[in-house]
Amino acid sequence: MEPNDNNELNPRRDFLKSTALGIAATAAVAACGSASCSCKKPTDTSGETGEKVTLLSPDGELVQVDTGHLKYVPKNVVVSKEEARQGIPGRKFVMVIDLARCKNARKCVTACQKMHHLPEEKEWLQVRLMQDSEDAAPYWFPKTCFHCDNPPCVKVCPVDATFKRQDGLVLIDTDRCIGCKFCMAACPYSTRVFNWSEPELPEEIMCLPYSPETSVPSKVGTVEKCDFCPDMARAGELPDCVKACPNGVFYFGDQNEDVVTNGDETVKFSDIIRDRGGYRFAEELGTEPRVWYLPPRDRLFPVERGLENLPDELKERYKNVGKEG
Amino acid sequence: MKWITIVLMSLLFGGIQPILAQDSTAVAEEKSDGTIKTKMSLTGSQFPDGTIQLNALLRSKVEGSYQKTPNQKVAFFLVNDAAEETALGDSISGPDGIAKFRFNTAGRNTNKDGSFSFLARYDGNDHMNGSESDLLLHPAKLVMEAIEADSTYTLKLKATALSADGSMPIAEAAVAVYVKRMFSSLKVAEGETDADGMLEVEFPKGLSGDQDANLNITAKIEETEEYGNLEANMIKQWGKPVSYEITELPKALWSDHPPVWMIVTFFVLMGTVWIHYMIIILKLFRIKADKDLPAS
Amino acid sequence: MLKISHAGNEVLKTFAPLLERTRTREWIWILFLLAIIGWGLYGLYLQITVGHTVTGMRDNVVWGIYIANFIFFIGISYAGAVISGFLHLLKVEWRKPIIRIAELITVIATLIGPLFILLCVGRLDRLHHLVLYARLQSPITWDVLAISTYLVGGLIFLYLATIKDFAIYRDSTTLKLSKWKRKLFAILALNYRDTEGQKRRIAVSSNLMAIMIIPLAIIVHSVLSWIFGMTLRPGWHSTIFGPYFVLAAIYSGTGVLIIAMWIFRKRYKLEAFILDKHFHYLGYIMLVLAAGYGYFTFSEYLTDWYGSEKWISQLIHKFFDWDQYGALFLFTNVGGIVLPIIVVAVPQLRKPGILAIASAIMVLAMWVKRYLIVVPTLETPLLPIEDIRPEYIKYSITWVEWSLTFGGVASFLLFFTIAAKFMTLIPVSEVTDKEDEKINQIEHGKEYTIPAHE
Repeated sequence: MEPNDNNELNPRRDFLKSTALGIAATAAVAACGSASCSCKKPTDTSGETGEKVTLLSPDGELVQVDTGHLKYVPKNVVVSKEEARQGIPGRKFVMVIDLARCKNARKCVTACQKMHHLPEEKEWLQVRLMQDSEDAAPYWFPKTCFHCDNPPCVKVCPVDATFKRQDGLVLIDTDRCIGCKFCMAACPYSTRVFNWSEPELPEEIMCLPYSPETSVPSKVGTVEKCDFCPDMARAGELPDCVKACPNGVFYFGDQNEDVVTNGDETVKFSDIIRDRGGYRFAEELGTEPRVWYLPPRDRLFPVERGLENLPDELKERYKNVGKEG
Repeated sequence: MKWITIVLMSLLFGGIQPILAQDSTAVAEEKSDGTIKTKMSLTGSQFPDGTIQLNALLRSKVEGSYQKTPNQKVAFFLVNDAAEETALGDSISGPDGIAKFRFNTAGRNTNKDGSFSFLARYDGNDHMNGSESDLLLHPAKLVMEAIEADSTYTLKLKATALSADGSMPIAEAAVAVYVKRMFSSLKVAEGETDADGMLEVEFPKGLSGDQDANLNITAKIEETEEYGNLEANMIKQWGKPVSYEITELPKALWSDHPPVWMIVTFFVLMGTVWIHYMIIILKLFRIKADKDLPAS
Repeated sequence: MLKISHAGNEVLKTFAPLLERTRTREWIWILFLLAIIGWGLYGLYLQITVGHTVTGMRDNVVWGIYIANFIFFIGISYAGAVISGFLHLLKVEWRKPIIRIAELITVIATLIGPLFILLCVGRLDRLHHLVLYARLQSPITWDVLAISTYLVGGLIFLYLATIKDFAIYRDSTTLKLSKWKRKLFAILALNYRDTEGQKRRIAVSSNLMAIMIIPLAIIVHSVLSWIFGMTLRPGWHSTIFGPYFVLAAIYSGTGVLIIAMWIFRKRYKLEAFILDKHFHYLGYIMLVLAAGYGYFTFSEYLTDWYGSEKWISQLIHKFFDWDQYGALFLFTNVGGIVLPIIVVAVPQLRKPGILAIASAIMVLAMWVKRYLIVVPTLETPLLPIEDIRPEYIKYSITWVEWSLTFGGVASFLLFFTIAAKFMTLIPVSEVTDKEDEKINQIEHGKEYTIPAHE
């Protein structure tokens, strides 16, 4: 997929986007998975919320616009269910996480939450403080879904709601999911989260066209997790977590091309694994993860940096590390 | 409300927060008249076909740091020896904050020193200051030739500076060769041009290409003082073909097709039991239909 | 007109009041059960409208008391499989008075158990996906298939054993049945008139079902255990889980059967039919099963503890820590293994009343065991929980979950009560002249002793 070089403004795009919104909203009426769904048609602009936001117009003017007039338009193309199950042809996505650089800045966590409209408590990407044993040195451990090649979650799904694609990704179709949570019990990495109650999302998000590649909007009673942002990959863009990290911790790429990049550096995947001693977490479980870790050697930051400036409630999470053997 | 949609695209493409002005909580550098400072930086890449790609990066100072500013109109000018500006055209900065313009050197005269002088200007508005940036480029080009011999791939590169007196080689210039990958470009070879401005590098084999083994190869001399960037690009079938076919997943525990033995076992077990149920239900019907007299 | 023994007539007379009409006492009982069920339904309403946040389940402990109840109920359903099925094949005579109670336990428990899974499922509006998009590789699919097959089998088995009785009720002059009930019995009796052909067909079908229900029962609970066994978690990923669950199921089924027998014997004064002998024999079965279950338990924990693998050790530690699950662990093993063995082994303790109490404690201990299988493992993931929300760290049962649990138990009892209105709890057709002897003796005040040759 070639990244879009055409950054110039295309007036045709506005029209297409408006039509897309129209189609999207109509489709969303049918696609809404929530029990209490009521997606309004786009022509309804009567919903003024009274809340104003300041935007920049092309003439360089700053204007105040009521948020009720803002119509959310999906960022990237939304593919059909069939295409979402087949995957992006010719690719085999892989991620490399450099533990030597992570300082728990949590920009990846917030970027992921922002992109997928997740509430603060729901983390698809978690940063753990790991200490492998009593005498070992603790280190920060960002954990995405590993998109395993031998996925224990996919094995146990009774309705084929979570599936493995040819491009290596494991996705969830929340229109199919019955919420039995067997996949959550089966995943040894605690990577999946569940919507225990109706997600509190603004209407325009609830009515976005859904595909397993966007994983938006969240639906009550279904499971969700990190999806490696395949909708962004289709547009040639790196996932938000990769872009958001200030220290270049995440490398993402295509194993078929044998290349991973963190936005700034582009390296050969096999080289970085060989030279930096890349490994997979809990390899002995046999799940064949697609996320590799570079050991926390020659660290960029001492591990204590990750606790500085952290709100107390987050610091509380890590109080037991180092105490249990 | 077409312009609202345009504005929203600016929001969405870069995922940028709306730029707030007159916000007392934001740490925004403001001049005494309350406008936002902007900064422009102009760079250029020269191509072997004689065109020059001008990239004008516009940034504005928001919350203490300069951030890329999309959707602003940037004007490009050619400046002659008499400091007269010839308007070349306008372009709008994209989501990465860069306004691009492709300048064709054909038919254009250089200044007395043999260079082109460019200017990119952002006029500013009520809320943002204007800024501009200039760039001096001597015409030059980097030419790339692909040679396939035996089982090796070689790239022959030549960097020449063009002037009124003719072409002169550019010596000791660092050249890097990149292959375009899905999200970025991978450097696969590099070297320095010799006194004749030539460089031969071996191109690695075994890189994955697309279905037809195509590779998008770019050679670059980056950020020279006089010539800006020099780029040459070609597409060669020097890669390994990668299958783009959607094949069916193998019959595994984690695929949608179960292993054959599982299907067989299922049918055998279920079949045996349910057939017997049917037999019994049949017997029940027979009991009902029994017309015999009871025994004794 | 079917021939009924004198003992059979006694049975009819005893249960006639139940079959004929519903008295005030029964109505009060039924209303009491409905009240509990109503409370449970209110909890269900909240769960559907507010969401599963009203339960104690969260992202780590995704399965809680509902799944424990499910395993429990499917477990106790084995009463029928063993007693009716196994003893039927062995042609053991003394099983006959108790087969109906056993089979009813099987069918009703198999009906109630899966309801608890439904309570756990997030999207009840998508249950049809289990049929439309079923994946054969998933243990849940195996479970759906196995349990539905088992339920149908149990129903057929129960029905086969009741046809003769339906014919008796249909023809009985002793019973003063309402018109619609008599008509119902006539339909259910399938025109049974005790002809040779009919007798043969029922005998053959019963034998067939008895043969099938045993492997079926083994498969059902094995498949259920593999929902846990096929994951990678400590405490679940154990090769013994298949046999372990099957054995535990038969064991708890036997216990529930003893309790049911004792309750009905007391309630309907069935001392003539449900004899001390029955309790003794079931007690012996329970002893053997307790020993087997105890052996499996010991083997399981000894192996886990000895190997001291890190992830497993984190879990085992919780069972031996009094502040965590130590107390429950002790109770489940002492009450579930040691106590029944002692009570059955010591002759002075081997009395119906004491056996029933011991069974009750054992059944409760088995329920606790199911809870200890489901919850502690989920609280001990490979990556230790780093969360500050207490409900995400430790599972606690909310009132909604209790209300639905008791609602399930009440439903079980309610179904039993309703079943007792459509069939006698002791099968009339099975009670033979041997029983006549015993009744004679009891009526004449003689102490009934177990003859040496039996």
